[in-house]
Amino acid sequence: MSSSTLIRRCPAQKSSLLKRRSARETWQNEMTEYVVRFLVGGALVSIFATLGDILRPKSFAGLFGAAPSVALVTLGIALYTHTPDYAALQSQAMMAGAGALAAYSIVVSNLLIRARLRAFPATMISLVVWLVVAFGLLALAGGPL
Amino acid sequence: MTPIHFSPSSLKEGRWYEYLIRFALGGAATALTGLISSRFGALVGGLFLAFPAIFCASATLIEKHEIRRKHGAGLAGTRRGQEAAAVDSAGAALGALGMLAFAVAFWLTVEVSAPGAFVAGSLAWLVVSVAAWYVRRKIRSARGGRWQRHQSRVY
Repeated sequence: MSSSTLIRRCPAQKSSLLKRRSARETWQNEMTEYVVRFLVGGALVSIFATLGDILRPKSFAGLFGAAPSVALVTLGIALYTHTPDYAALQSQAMMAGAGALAAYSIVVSNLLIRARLRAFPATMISLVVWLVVAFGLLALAGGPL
Repeated sequence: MTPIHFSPSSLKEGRWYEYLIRFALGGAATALTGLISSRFGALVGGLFLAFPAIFCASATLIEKHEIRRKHGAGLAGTRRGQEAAAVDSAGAALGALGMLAFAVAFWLTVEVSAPGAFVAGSLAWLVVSVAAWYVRRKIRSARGGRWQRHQSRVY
């Protein structure tokens, strides 16, 4: 029996088939979105990072390590898939994240110079600082915590 | 004060897999931020727009390149590598101020004009980051000048 015959004879089957098709399309759309995020995000981050590699002095080049490359892609997709309100909400929370990033960078710098840690452990350990400061600032601002 | 300039020869220090790692990390960070937003909402997702996912790789690469450069001169280079990564980290702290400016400018303009919000945000990031860097350099130069004058008086 063909699927078209099935659809004509069985409404329940038709409903189930449509639901499966819809779920598959939703999944495909989501996957496409994540692939686009990965490719565009990777490209932007690479561009800013390469700029940071070739600029001197190094302290100036370090500015590009905090370039809003992930934000540009994410907010762009947020505007495409949601509303300006949604993107505005994300940018508000980003302020707290930026404050945490400043604290994080200062801690990393001190761990490297004063505690003489190597770069990898210093940057990884300091992630705890980012998490605490970021969620702390969000809670202080009345976020969902 | 060292002027801002390009040093394209620095690109030769990088290995092809380092660029690939940065691309993959940047892409993964962006995809993950989207996932967090969809699972936990816009506020929590927005926090992670300023998550230093790529900074770990950048700082490690900078340290590695400095060590490699010093090895070429027959030195260990560990301390020099740490200092280079620390300088980059200090720059990132200033860049975070710029990121804050980006977020504020974007938030203020996005409901008026979406393309305008991106332009305003990017300009705000650039202007505030560079201004913060410049002010910091001036302060450090002034402190360095005072220390040299103090040394010449004492010694």
